Amino acid sequence: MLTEPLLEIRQLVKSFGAMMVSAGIDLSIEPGEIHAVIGPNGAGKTTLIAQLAGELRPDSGTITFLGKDITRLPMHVRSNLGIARSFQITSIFPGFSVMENVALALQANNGHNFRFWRDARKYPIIRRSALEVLERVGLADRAHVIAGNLSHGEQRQLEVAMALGTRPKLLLLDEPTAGMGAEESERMVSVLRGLKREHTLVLVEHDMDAVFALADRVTVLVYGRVIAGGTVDRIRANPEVREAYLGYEEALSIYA
Amino acid sequence: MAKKRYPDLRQIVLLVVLAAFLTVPLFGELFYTRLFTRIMIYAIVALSLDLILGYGGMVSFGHAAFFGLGAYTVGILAQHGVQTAFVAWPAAIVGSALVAVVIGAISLRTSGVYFIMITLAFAQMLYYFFFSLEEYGGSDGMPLVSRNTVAGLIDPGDHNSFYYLVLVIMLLTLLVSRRMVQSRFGMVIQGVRENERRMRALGFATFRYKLVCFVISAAIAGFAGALIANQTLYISPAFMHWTRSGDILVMVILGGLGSLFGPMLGALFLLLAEEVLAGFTEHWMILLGPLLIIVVVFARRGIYGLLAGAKDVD
Repeated sequence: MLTEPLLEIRQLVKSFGAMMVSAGIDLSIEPGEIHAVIGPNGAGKTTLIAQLAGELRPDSGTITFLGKDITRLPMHVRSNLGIARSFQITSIFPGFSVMENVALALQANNGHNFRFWRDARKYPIIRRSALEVLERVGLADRAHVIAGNLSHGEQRQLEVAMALGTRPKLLLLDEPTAGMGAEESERMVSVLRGLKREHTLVLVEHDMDAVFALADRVTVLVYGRVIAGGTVDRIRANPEVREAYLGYEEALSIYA
Repeated sequence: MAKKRYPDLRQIVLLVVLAAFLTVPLFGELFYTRLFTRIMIYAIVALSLDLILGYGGMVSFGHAAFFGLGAYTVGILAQHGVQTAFVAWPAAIVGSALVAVVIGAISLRTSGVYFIMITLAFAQMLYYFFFSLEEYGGSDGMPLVSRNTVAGLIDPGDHNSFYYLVLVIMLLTLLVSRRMVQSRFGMVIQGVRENERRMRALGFATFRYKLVCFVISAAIAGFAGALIANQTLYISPAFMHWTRSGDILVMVILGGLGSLFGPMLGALFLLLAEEVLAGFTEHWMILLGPLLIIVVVFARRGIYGLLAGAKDVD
């Protein structure tokens, strides 16, 4: 590929005591792609995301974003650089309205916030952008609902909206369809497909339908190690992946 | 949020209380004028604690330290001949703010129970510092010979003038704080209370915002301290004692966290209750205790929450 990778991970190592959750991960994310990271429970997917987002510091290895070494930068600085993250376990502001949740995300990257007098709701740019973002995830008509009162599926949509609100160059989505029913899952997939043109996504996902519907490339993680990587078709055909990840043959026959 | 605008119980109570406060000096009873001056000053302190506790989610158990610092600033300056409020009061505000920068920068690296303990420890350090500061009265405290002068404008020596001055300051503090909690800064602070981890993930350097909020709160408390020194004309380490921090916490929780007006009602309620109950028995705390338990158990959002009824409290 001619373009520089947007994000490059080299020899990333992280362990908790004797347990190695990242055992020398190499990975590069190209601009504009949806890159799915799959793997069984405990494979180290969420810890990988946490290290990319800056919440966990790796023991060794480097992370380069837009040509800049960000390995030691704290979470909020990475967010300002353009790396946004959504959480596997819904992490919103339950006491705020849906609109306020997204507005706060927009506030993070729209000038400084040591403004003490003017009503936060009276910044037309932020209001407009917040509505746009809600439109994209399909929550525009729920803008004034208190976020804690949303259904689980809607809260997951809000989770993505908040990540989008920071206007990221790279979106790290940690199981956006977690805990969703089939119908909600489908809606989320179409939301994510809508983001594909403008955003680069790293997608951690258990829902294989979602992965195969969205991803350009897939990386398979098992016990902190990359055991396979490549296009969706290649991963589907890889016998090692079948054995290590998908585990039993009948599950696989659906996709074969 | 687009809500219908009609006066609810809270607004009615706000207006009634305000009207009552306007009329207190008209009765010409010095006792009541002084009592309500004191109540208003504590209302300002309670409001300032609500900024960090109710909005920022920071449970400080050392708020009285800043209150006492403000009072001592006025007292110490007076002992060195500085009488004008135009110097003494800003000095009290800035002094408390500066100390809050140091205390906050250290304490805010912790959270939860540790934050409670560390703020308590700092406050007790300051308490013992002034307790042993013989030049300025030590454990006995120091008298203030006369109130600060507000040259050319009003005569604070007159109880009624001082009363109305404190009333104006209280209302201005409420107005400014109300704007602040609805501003962008206020939203950030409340976001930190709701979910600090998410705030950092969104790109906010949360520590900075918490520190600024802590300092603003301390500055207001310091201002109130300057006023209480002028009210009592006597400054002692008791202003900084941890039980005083506890009283202020009770006012905030009793009145209703995160409502600004609620904690002011809490101050009114607590000090009036003390006044009335102390008339029956010197062990008035025995009566107040169960009352507090009832409020905390049955009215989670305090007095303000009761007034809001079943409606969503903003």
